[in-house]
Amino acid sequence: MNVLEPAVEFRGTSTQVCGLWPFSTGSGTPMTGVPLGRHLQTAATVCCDPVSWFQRAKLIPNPSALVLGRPGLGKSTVARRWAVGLAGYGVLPMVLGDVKGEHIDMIRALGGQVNEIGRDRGAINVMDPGEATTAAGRLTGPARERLLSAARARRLTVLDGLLTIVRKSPPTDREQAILDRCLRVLDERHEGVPVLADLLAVIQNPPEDVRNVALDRGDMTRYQQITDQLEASLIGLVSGGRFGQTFGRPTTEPIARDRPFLYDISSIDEGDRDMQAAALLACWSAGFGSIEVARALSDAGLEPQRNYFIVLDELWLALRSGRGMVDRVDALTRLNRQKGVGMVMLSHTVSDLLSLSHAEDVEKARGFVERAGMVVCGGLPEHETQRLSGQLRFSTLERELVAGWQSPPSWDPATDREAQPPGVGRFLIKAGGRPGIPVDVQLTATERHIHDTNKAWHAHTRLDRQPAPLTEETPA
Amino acid sequence: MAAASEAPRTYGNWRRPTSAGLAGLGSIGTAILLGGLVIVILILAMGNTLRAVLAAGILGVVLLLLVVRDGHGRSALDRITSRLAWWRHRSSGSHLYRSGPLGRTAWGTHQLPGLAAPSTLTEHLDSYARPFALIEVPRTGHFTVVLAAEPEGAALVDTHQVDTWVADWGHWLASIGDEPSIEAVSVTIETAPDSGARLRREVETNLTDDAPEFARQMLREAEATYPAGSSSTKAYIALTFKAAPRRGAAKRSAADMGVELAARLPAITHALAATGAGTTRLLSAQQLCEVLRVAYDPAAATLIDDAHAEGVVPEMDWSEVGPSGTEAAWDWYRHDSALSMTWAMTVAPRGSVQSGVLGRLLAPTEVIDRKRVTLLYRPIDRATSARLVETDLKNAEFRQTASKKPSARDSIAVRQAAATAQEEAAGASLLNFGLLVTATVTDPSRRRDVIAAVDGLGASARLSLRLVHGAQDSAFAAALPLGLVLGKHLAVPTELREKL
Repeated sequence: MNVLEPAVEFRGTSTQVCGLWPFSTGSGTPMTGVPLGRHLQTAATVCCDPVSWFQRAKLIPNPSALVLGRPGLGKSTVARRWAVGLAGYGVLPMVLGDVKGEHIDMIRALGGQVNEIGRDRGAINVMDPGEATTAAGRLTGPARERLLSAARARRLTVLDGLLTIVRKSPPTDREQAILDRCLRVLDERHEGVPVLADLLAVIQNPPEDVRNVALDRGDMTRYQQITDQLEASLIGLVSGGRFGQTFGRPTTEPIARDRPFLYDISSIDEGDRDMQAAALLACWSAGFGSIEVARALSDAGLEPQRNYFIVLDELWLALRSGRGMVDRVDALTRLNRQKGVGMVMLSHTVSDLLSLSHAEDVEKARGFVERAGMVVCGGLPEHETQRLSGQLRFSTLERELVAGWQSPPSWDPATDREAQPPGVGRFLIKAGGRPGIPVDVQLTATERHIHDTNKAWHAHTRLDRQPAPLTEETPA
Repeated sequence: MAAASEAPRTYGNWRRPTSAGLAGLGSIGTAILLGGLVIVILILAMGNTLRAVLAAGILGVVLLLLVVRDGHGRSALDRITSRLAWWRHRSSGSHLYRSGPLGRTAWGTHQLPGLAAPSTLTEHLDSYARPFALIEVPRTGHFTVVLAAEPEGAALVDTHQVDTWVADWGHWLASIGDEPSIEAVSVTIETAPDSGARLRREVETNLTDDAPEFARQMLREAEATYPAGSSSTKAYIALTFKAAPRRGAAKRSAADMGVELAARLPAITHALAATGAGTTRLLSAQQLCEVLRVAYDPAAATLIDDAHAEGVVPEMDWSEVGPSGTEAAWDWYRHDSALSMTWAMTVAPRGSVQSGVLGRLLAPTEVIDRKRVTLLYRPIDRATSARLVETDLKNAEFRQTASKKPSARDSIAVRQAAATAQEEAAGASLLNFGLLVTATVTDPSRRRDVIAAVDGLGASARLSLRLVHGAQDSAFAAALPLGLVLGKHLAVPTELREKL
């Protein structure tokens, strides 16, 4: 016989007893995906990445993530951690346009390929996104047609985008129709892979159907008037200048589809926003084109099935380079089938993303936030999270937490240096309407050197005696 | 946006069930007092003054035993009986338990000790074809189903959302009281150190053979360093049903009960989602066995986790989940690889509290390796509730009018009883609740630290916790997600005790 001591019982109505609510402590964190860090409150390990959360955990509707946060708080670190982790899980990371050269070490460490793009460096032929023409040669029937038509659409979009950047306004619909027809003419008559100069040649010596589309009414002078603007812009793109050097030549080195890959565009002067935006656009077009090629080839059984994880850095740079760019970026970065392709987009702040001059562009840019499977927020001021509130539900506490992370670092008199800012490496993972998961991203010793983006300084100063800070961006 | 000026919602107005009586006595106590006085007067009338004085003395001592209560509301009689019972328990040697082939159980299995010893386990499918385990305790005629929940936590959630969850929890508690033949509900929140096995399983099963060396290194390093010092929290909800559908009816068999519950469980689990419990799932027999095995032998947690990490399900049988040896002492309980102490709530949070009051108590603590906080609910059926609240109100009013100058306490009691009656009339149900806290350490020398830590936690939750004395083994079992209802195992029913 046991000795019993029944628990002392109290009595109350269900409307009062529920106040002793047993569920105030969260049970835990998702343990699916790349280990990212620790939960800020419970110190439990947090695993998270857009691909695994979509594919295996089914926590998000599509495998994409948007990372927002003030500069210097470790946005790129999150992207790199995902890239490295996913590489370990058999997903190939693809950095499409590294503006500051901060991901190069990571891709090299993973044994990947780095293509340098820029003046006097490598070139991307915008007329052949993802080397689709060569790949199409290996395919037959409807698969070949599908690949080519996707490549054509992509090509037209990127041309539109380039023209928009050059002229600061989108091309008219008549010009777009002329371009489209010229491209078709090129496809039919041109031997080999065309470049921009070939396109210009078609416009300058128009065959009959191009003139019909231009509606020149049989008058060559009228044709020249109509295509005057277009020709001028294209000449700007083709002739020797920075654009022509980079986009008007045949692609220097094709994208490796079987290992990690990176487009390095850090050689482009940081002040040259137009060129940066154009390069990003071309890189995205080439990268996504290449993935479509890989998909088509693997469907045809010519190459093994591969999964990719795409890093799109500095999203705002391209969005803000001209009116209507949101549509172009959207068209370029959208895949018909997202199966097996994860994507992370990085942008400074919401204002950066949404401060577009045209109201409709702003609305469309909001779509980027809306469509992202998950949003990972670093330190953001409260008015920023307020701006996101249409797309994401932030609780007051979450808002305050995120706002707290962007406070400036304090001064440490003992070492005469700045202490680490309070928000470094801290992020709030928001997926759907669920409460956010606050996570402290923790680096491992192995990867520390790939996150050290102040290497240029170490050569000149003696800073390298100190442990490298987590920061990789200098506040603008 | 919720207005910042809005006052936080508070809860309170729970009290110990008492009965009407004089001078702090319950109704039975009052009867003893009056009956005793009559006897004393009779003896006096017979002219035997000395005997009358003696009788009055005995009566006085008996009443003192009932009236003198310590800070936890226990009368001297309670303390003496528990001392005596413990002494008997110890001298009979039943505080020791040895199982297995070398043990003292006749059939050589590691069955559960104590109250849970005669329990049996069966597995059934609910109407969504999810397997669920059904524990049967034949002695009390109880069947228990255990659910696992994944609370989202209130840490980053707006107050109005928490208020909604809490209100829905109230609704759920009210509705569970209406479930036919429900006996008790318990919610167990268990915090335990993270063995890192889940992370290891995640990384090892996903790492591809041709992964770049650098990525492999990074993942392996994260796998090794991340789990250190982190903890995991688990939530279980145990629903206990009576085998007999009504008093005097024949008891249902496990098979019958399984069929009946199969149809009812989906609705119950579905309603839980709105209470902040997150997604709930029914525990299968295998999962329940693992929970109990780990509770009695925390060292097994690593082995079980490792097995799962390898993708192997460690096959377990209900007769094998118990400890191989336990020893119950006056204030601790030794079981296999660990030492546990169980506290019981003796005073519910005083005054009115906000819904986060248990937050600190439920959250993981560094000092305590494993901690289980179990809230025990016993819903009272509608008919009894209505009667009880009315009696409570009458009793309170009686106490108020019994003295010429009613104390402030008495008039508050009347107001509280009236509020309860009103809430009950508005659709809330009445329930009894208790709370148990079990702290487990693997290193017995840290017992003192744990006591200090739990004292602090109890204070943070504004409730009084008392270390259960002399009944550590049964209290430990009651705090497990097993659905044991201690009150039903007693020789003297709880209802009678309340009236003393």
